[in-house]
Formats: sequence, C-alpha cells, structure tokens
Amino acid sequence: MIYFINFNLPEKKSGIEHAELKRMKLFAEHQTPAKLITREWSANLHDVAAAAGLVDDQLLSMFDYYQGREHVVRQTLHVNDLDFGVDNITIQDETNNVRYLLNRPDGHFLARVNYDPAHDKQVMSTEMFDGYGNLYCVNNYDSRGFVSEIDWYSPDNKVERKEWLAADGQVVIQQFFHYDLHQKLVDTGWWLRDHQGKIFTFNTLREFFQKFLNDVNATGKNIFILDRSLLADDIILDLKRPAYTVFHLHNSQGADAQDEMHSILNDNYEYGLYNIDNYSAVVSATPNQTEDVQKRFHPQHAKLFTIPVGIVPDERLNAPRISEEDRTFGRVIIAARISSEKQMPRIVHSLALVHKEVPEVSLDIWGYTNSEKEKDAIKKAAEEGGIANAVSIKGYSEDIGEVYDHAQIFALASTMEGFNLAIMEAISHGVVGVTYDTNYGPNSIIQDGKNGYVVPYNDEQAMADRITKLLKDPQLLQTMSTNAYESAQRYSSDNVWKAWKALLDDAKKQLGED
Amino acid sequence: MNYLVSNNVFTFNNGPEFSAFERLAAFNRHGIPTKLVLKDYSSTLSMNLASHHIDPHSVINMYDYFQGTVDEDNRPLNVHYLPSFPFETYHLKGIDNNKAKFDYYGNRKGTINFMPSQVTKVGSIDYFDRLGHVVVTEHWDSRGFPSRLDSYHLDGSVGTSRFLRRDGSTALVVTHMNIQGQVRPTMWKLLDYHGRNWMFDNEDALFGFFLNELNRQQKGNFISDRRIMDQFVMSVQNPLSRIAVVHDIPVQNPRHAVKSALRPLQETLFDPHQQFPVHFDQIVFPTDEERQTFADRFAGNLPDTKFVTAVDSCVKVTVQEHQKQQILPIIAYRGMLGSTKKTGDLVRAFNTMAKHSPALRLKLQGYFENQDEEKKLKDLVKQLALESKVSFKPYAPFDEDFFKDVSLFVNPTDSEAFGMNLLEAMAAGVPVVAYNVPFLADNLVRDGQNGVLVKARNPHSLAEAAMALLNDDEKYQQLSQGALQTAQGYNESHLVEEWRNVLQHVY
Repeated sequence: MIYFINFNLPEKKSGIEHAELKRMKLFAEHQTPAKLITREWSANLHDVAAAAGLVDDQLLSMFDYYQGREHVVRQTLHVNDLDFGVDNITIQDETNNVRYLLNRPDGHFLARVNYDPAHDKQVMSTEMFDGYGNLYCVNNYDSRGFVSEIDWYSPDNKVERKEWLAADGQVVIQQFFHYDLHQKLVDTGWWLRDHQGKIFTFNTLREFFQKFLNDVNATGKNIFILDRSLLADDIILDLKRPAYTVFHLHNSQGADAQDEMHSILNDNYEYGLYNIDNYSAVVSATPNQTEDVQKRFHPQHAKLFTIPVGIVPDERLNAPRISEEDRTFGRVIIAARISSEKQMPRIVHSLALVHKEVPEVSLDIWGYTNSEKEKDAIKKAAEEGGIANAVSIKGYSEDIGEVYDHAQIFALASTMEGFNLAIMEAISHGVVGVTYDTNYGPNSIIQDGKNGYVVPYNDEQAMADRITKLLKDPQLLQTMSTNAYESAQRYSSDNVWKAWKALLDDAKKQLGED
Repeated sequence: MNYLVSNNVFTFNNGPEFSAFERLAAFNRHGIPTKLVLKDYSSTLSMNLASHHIDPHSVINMYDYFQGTVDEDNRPLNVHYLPSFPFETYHLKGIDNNKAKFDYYGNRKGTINFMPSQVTKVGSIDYFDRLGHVVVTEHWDSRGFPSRLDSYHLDGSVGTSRFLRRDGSTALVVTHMNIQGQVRPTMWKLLDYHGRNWMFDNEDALFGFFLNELNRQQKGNFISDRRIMDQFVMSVQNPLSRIAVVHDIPVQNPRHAVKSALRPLQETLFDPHQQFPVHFDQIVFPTDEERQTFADRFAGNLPDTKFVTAVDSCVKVTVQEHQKQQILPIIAYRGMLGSTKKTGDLVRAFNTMAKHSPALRLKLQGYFENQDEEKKLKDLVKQLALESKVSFKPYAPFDEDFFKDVSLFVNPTDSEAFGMNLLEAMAAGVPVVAYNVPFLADNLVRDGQNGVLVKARNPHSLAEAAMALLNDDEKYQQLSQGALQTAQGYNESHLVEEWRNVLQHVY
C-alpha cells in the first residue's frame, strides 16, 4: 500500500493538502490504491475528506485505526437518541447557545447537549453532570454519529484525561495531563491498547505515531510518502520492517531561496536533509530543485525524483483556446493569498512603470487575505504609483478559470515557492507569465522567452520592461500565449503519472516485489 | 431460589459469614437451590471462595453479574503469560514477592503487582506517565482477566473506574468527584444493561436495583445475615419472603435483654419506634431462648413477622473419642482475637494456670479485630513473659488438625448467641470452658455435660475451672464424650430440617 503522511486534513487546506488530493485522484485514475494517513483526531475528518472527494478507503486516521472506526455508516444523532440512564428527563432548547439543557425528574441538572444548528441539530458534544452538580466529563461525537472521544474532568474542573473508545465501548487510547515542575498543566503521556490487545504507553504523541506507522507497516514493503517532514522524518527512518520511504519537498530547502547552495536550511527540512541518504527517495516538484539538492547534498543512496505537484487535467488541455484578441487588453492578474512573502507591492511598482507606457494596463488580485497589513501596503503602492484606479483587490474566486481566460499576463514576485499551482493553472489557460527568478516553481513553470519571462529577483524595472514589451507587441504576446497552452502539457495527468510511475517502479525494485 | 445477601467473602470472615457459607453448601447439597449474593467488588473473590471451600457457581457477586463474569473459575494468571504485555518491546524485571517492574530502554513504564501472597500472579498493573505518575491501573481478577480499569485525578486519588466485561467493554462506570468538598464516588452508571443505560447516585441504589433484578428473574427468599444488609433486603419488591438471621445478642447487655438498649443497626429489624412500612417476614434466632426473649419484647411492633428458631451452624463428627494430652496439655481458642471476644481474659487466665502447671501451652488461632488489638494482646503476652508458651496461629478456617493436640477449648466471651467455635471443639471431642452467660448457658454449653460454665466472670475463676477439669481425668473423659454427643446432634441434616421450616414458602 502507498501512504501519504500528514497531520490532518483541515477544512482550510494549504498547498500540501491540495497536492495530496490531486495525487490521490491521479493514483485512483491509474488504479493504484493509496491512503492518506492523518495523525490528529478530528471530529469531522470524514466530512472534510468526503467533501474533498476522498472515500473511506483512501483515508487512514491513526485514531480511527485503533478505534476500529475506519468505515462507519453515518447516522445523524439527535438529543432524543441519547441514553443518559435516567427516565423522564426534561429537555429545554437554548437556541441562542445552540444547546439543550437537560434535567432529571428529581430536579438535578443532568447535561448540556451541544448541537450543530447547520446540520439538523445533530449532537456534537454532551457535558455530563453527576447527582452532586459536578461536571465530570464531556463526550465528543464524531460527525458520523458516535461518541469518539471523552474529556474527563478533575474535581477542580480541568481536563485531566482524554479517552478514545472502540465501537464496542472498549477504551483503546488515553491521553494524560499533569502538572509539571513549573506547575503548568501539560500533556504527560499516552496509553494504547492495540489490535492484538497489547498495552503500550508513550511519552509523546510522536512515539505513539511511531508505533502506529510500525503497525501499518507490520507486513513491510509499503511506500510512505512524507508530506509533512517534521511529522515523521525520524520515524520513517527507523521502521521495524522494510519500507520505501519518500521525503517529499514542498518548498525550498534553503531558508534563502536565492542562495540554495549556501544558505541555512529551511527548518522543516533540516533534519531530513542531514539524513537524506537514509530515505529511499526524495521528491521535488521541479527539475531545478532536484538539481540543487543533488549538487548540495550529493546523496549516494537516496534516489531523486522530479514530480510536479500540480496536474493539468486532460479536459483543460483539450479545452478551446482563447486568443489574445478575446482577452481584456492590458489585464495583468495575480492569483495568490495576500501575504508578505508574495511581495505584491513590488508588482504594483512595476505596473506603475508599465502604466506610463501602456495606460490601459490593469491589475486584478485574486485570493484570500492573510495579512491586512500587506493589503494596505498594496493599496498604498497603487496610490503612490498613481494607478489606484487600475489595481483591484478582488478576493477569493469560485471560478478562477474564467478569470484566467480574460487575462493576458500573470505576474509573480514571491520570495520562495515549492511549486505554485496558480501559475501552472494560468499557463494552462494561455496566460503569459512574468515572474521573478524564484526558487522553486515559478522559474521552472515559466520558461524564459517561451511562455513568458523570468526576470532577475526583485528587479522591478525588468518586470516592468517585460510586461511593457508584451503589451506593445500583440504578436509576441499571442505566440507566448500559444506556447503557454503547449507548455502546460508538461503537467498533464499522463506526464505526472509517468513521473510517479518511475518512483513506484523503483520502490518495487527496492522492496523486491514482482 | 434462596438468596443469602452479604457484602463479601473476605480474606478473613467471622461467625455470621461462616454460618451463611455452611447453609449455602448444606442447602445446595440437599437440593434447596441457594445463592450467596455479594455486594462488594473484589478482584480476589475467587481465591477467597476457594480458600473457604465455597462453590463459585453458588455465588453471584453484583459486579460479576453486571460484568457478565459470574461463572468463571479461579485461575490466577502468571505474569509471564500476561496477554496484554508486549514482551517483545518492554523488559520485565526486578521480580520480587510483591511485584515486577517493566521498562522501555531503561525508562520505567509501570509495575505489575501480584495477588496477595501469590508470587507472579497478576493482581494489578500500574501504568506510569512520563513524569512517573501512576495514570492507569488495570485490576486483574484472580480468575485471570482484567476486570477493572482505574484512572486518577491530578491529586492521585481514583477518578474513574470502569468495570469491564470479558470482551473489555465497560459494563459499569463509577466517577469520583466532589461531595461537599470531599472527593467521593458520585455516580454509578450501567452501560448497555439489557439494551439501555442506568444511572445511580450511589452504590446502595445500584445494589437495590441488582437485588430486584435477581428477584425479577427468579423470585426468591432474601436472607440477611448481617444488619447492614437489612435495608437492601427490605428494598426488594415482592420477594417470596424476607428473612433476617440473628447471630448475636442484639442488645448492649445480654444479661438484661428485656430492657437493654438495642445495639446499632438493629432498628430496621425490630422497628422499636414503628417507623417502617415493611418488615421482615421472619426473624430467625439460633436458640429458642433468644427467640422467646425478643419475641416477648418486639413481636407487638411486628404483627406480620414470625419469630422462629433455626440452628446457626452444623458440624461433622469424625472421631470416636478424644484423649487429653498428658505431657504438654494445650489450651486453645480460635475465632476473632481481641477485646470484643475478651481474648485478654483468656491470656490472663492462662497466666494463672501456667504458674501452677508450667507444662501448659496456649494456642490461639484467628485474625485480630484490628492492629491495635493485635499489639495489645501481643504486648500482654510479652508483659506476662508467656512468649514461649503462647502461640498465635494464622487464620485458617479449615485447619482440621487444629484440635488434635488440644485438651481444652476456652471461650471467655460474655456475649454469645450460639458459639460456633465451641461446637467445632465439641465435634473434636474437646470439652469447653466458658463464662456462664445467657443464651450460651444451657443451650449449646451444658455445665457438666459437655463443658464447664464459670459463674464468676473473671480470669482467675476461668483458670480455676479449667485446671480443675484438666486435673480430673474421669470428668474430662465424661465431658469429652458429652461434647461429641452434643456435636452429633448438630449435623447437617439437622440444620437443613430446621431451615426447611423457615423456607416454607418454597418447600
């Protein structure tokens, strides 16, 4: 089995989760089963996974695994479905607090039942009281409709222990809290009853995760693709049974992406890169990153693979192409979250220069705002450049494809990237890219002089010159747009699968399967 | 069905418990189906049943009932076979008489505590967190499975106890939280009992529910041998009958049984203030004299209650005769040791006797009322310089050889309703010496027939009577034969016959 390893699958996904989901889809299309491993417990994991297109077979949560809850038929629990062990309870709906208050017939308070107002008042948790008025535990329900985790309270009302139950009610996992030497309440250990009924204790969640990955790999010969290096970069080096371990870079390995050969290392990858030769393989999304890793770390045993993390679907590659005449003249776009490492004010500065030559130029910025400060900086730069009317901050788009189809140029000035899905998508819509020479992704997806321009890092004048040149030369722009469409073929499902196939073939060879 | 309702079969038991054990065995042997019903959780119950020769299939413990573990056999587990222990991962080490420790790469992970005086037999497992706190204790039953999982509050007191079914699921969860600022058990919740949960605020309420469940499934006579059990038997709805068995003299001063104040916990039974709506159907006394005394005093309060007599105990006589030891005659007593039973009087009496007959020895067998009493008695022995002559033998209810070398059995108690230990001595042909106290005198012990009753209740008089008997071979033989004769009357069929009358609702 092939496993992708991550902390969680959150509702707000980052590029890494998107990469995993695309990879999962690609593997499924090629009848290659894979599972996403998640370590953190989450009440609505299966809802989020289903919304992201994953079926239960493609998900392996550590907690589900020991709880025997990988496959559960969902049911919606309402307050009347709960059994408090007391007859003739009175139930009062406190809608403003989205909960019910329950009393025993003898007047004692029994429980608070917190519900999800968006889902038919489905029960989310129950706060339980004994006959003496003490809150003794809170039962947390999985969104599939069962008690999964229980918080147990101390007499002075602190969570001192958490418990996870199997389907038959057996306690299979416990987490403990205690005061440390500094009188701080901290997590002090874990307790596990595994599938064989053996009981283990762990000092840390990481030790627990180590046991889990060993259990998953009990028969050996699995492939583990580590997408969050810090989660298990040591664990997968020390598995008891043979496995093919893949260290997946999702960003620049150097802390300074402009000095990959000498800069200090990216914190996330430091441990892994010091141990690079102990992994079976290292994956980078772009050839230049693979080359840099080879040059700086010269691994002897670990194989290096270049596998794009973005995939352009066939329907996109085969979609009708939009000519430059049908696009909005002078429309430059950015599609990225607004935050400082994207250096958007620099793009605005360049656009101010372009504006002097091509007054029709405009800049639309699409994406979530991570930093209000950066947003203000963008507005300020636009005002100072005298192009406030030409710069629009658009927010998140549900249909970014439509946006690309009307744009001519995609601008990018990031300090560092692991790939950049947006610029890949942009070229697949024939948008011409102009980017700083940023590692890794932009300077690989954009081929200088072919489907756009790669200009020196932080050279605002150079970016302005290239954009001006493109806007003043419609034929050049059209040629490059056509080239952009063509260059997206590099990220076709077939091509990305070929890249993965090379890794999987190597894994088979290494693991000695036929 | 007959239900003998009790707390527990303890490591050490006393008269009322032994009386119930005897009835349990005798009734079942004679085709009168009877169960011993127990309230307390005990992970060593099967061991205690075995050591008291009680058939585990005749016992229903409340916790076992809910955990679905009623009919399991005693099978303590050797630590080296512990199925939950990852031998391939942890090192078991430092095994001594009480426990073993286990480590992972030198870090202490926990300890495995052995059953009391059962080296290597798993009693409980303590799991540690990384700061060395015990965070979970898994209690192992002496029948070889984990039956209870405890976790702890931040202050180290027990937080939650889960009582487990054989499949490891929880049958009953007990929480410990604040009651007026003190951490005590606050909730008992049965999980998935006949398809639903049941919440109780205390263990007593759960026990009442349990007894009613037993009665609902099979109606029965509920028999209480101890006054602390009376309230639970009273709470059973529509049993065949409720029966209270009196094993002692329920008043402070047995010499003034007509007027003396009731001892604690007797009020539910005799209802002197006419406050309870329900009464026992029958109250069973071990002697007619006691029955008559208390019927005269209380029957007016209890119009629907029958005061009846049925014997408290039975014995099996296996010897034809008993010979007094000539060289080192031994005075003996077995039973609870301490001031309640006036064991000090016996030691003082023996001191007097030993001065006259240095060859005499005193043998005491049983458990001490408490540690203070043990210290007091042992100090007394030391103070009288009798250490070489007085021996303390540990509690051993089935020590059949105990009486073989005994010449006299001396019982200095001043409140005795029957005298089970005296009967055992008689069954071995050992004459008894006791104070002449009401209900004992002229009932089990008959002066000049099977023993000697001493009127003046002081150690000196006790000593004189005992010495006189020891020095009179003819009388000794006569009383010895009388003792055997008395004991033959208290055989098992006699006990069963008397009790058949009591259990008339069924038979």
